[in-house]
Order: sequence, then structure tokens, then C-alpha cells
Amino acid sequence: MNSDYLKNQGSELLTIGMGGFFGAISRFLIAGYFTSASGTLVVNVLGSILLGFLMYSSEYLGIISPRTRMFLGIGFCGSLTTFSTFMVQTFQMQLSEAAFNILASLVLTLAGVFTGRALVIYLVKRREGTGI
Amino acid sequence: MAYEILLVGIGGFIGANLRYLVSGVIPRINEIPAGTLAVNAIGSFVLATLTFTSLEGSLRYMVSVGMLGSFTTFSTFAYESFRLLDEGENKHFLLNIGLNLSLCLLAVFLAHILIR
Repeated sequence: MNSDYLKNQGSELLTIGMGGFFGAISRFLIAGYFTSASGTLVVNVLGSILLGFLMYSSEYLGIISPRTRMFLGIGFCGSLTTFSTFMVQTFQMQLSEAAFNILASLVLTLAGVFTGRALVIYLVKRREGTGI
Repeated sequence: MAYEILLVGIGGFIGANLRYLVSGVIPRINEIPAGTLAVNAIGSFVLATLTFTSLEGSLRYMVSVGMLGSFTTFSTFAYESFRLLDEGENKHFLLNIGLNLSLCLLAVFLAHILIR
């Protein structure tokens, strides 16, 4: 373990931490606009669209640096979305409401990742000039 | 309000790093992204414990909203599940969703029993 390794490790944690800082604050502010469970749903779907776009951009377009992925992907999107709050809120609901919340969250976040990827594919096709 | 926002942000800084460190040491087990599963289950248990003990004040903003909210993640879970589906791993796709839901609900239920 030399000092370069530690410095690199430290700056990774700082990058992820700053993403987490802004992600958590965004979640707090955005979710605060809605009633509790729908606020959680909104941030989870937004974060899934963004993460889908980010991950597939770095795969198909190659324009996302590893450092950006750490800041936006692991830090920001990871902290903007939350599983623990979703679970505790679901636990406190009536059975039918809980089932609906689980189903809506799963379907809409998966659709969110799909939307993020679709956006990247659209950009790839436009860049290649094949148009849509 | 500004004070609460800062507390949430500091919690988010810590929670995101803890998630990165904890989920990073846990490898995929039989195609299942066990790192994300582990942080979601642990975070759900701790958040449920704090919620059921009615944690209030500054600590609630920093630990419950900021740190535990950021320690667990829905976007990575959705992305990893989507990848499994995309790669034709239908069985593991369903298994991953089933495991996350059941283990995290169990964690909240466990906290509920312990606190009451």
C-alpha cells in the first residue's frame, strides 16, 4: 500500500460521497413534494431512467468516464433512489395497497431503465446518421 | 430547512460510500448480484428499527433519510434485474426480484418483532 494507492482510493470515496451528498438531497427535496409513498416512487423511477441512460451510454457510446460513472451512477443515482424507505413504507400499508406499490415500483423502474437505454440507442442511431 | 438539507447530504455522503464498500466485497452468487441484495436487506432492517423506535430530530435527517436512504438503492437493483432479463436469464431475473423483496420485507418484519 503506497501513497498513490491511498490517494486514488481517497479520491474515489470523495467522488462517490459527493454524488451521494447531492443524490440524497435531491431525493429529500423531490420526494418532499409528494405524499410519502408516491414521492419514493417518483425518485426511484427518475433514478432508474438516469442510471439506465448512464450505464448504456458508457457501453454503447463510450462517452462516460469511470469517474463520471462513480459520481453519477454509484453516488448520485444510488442515493437518489432508495430500497429501505420503499420497503418500510410498503410494510406499513394495507395488503392491497402494498401489493400495488410493489407492482408499480417494479414495473415503472424496469420501464425506466428501458427508457434510459432507448434514449441511448436513439442517440447512437442519430450519430451513425441512419436516423429514425 | 437549510440545516436539514445539509444533514441529509452528509448522511448521503456516508451512506453512498458504505454501500460502495459493502456491496463491493460481496461477489455475484450464481448470477445473483448479492452485493446489492445485502445492502438493501441490511439497510431495510436498520431503517425499520429506527422508524419503529420513532427516531426524531437531527439524527432522523442524517441517519434515516440521508445515510440509510443512500445505503440502499433501487436504481442499481432495477438496472441489474433489467440486465438479467435482457441477457435472457429469466429465471435469475425473477429470483433476484423475489430475493430482494422477500429478504427486505423479512428484515422489516424482524425489526417490527424485535421492537414491539
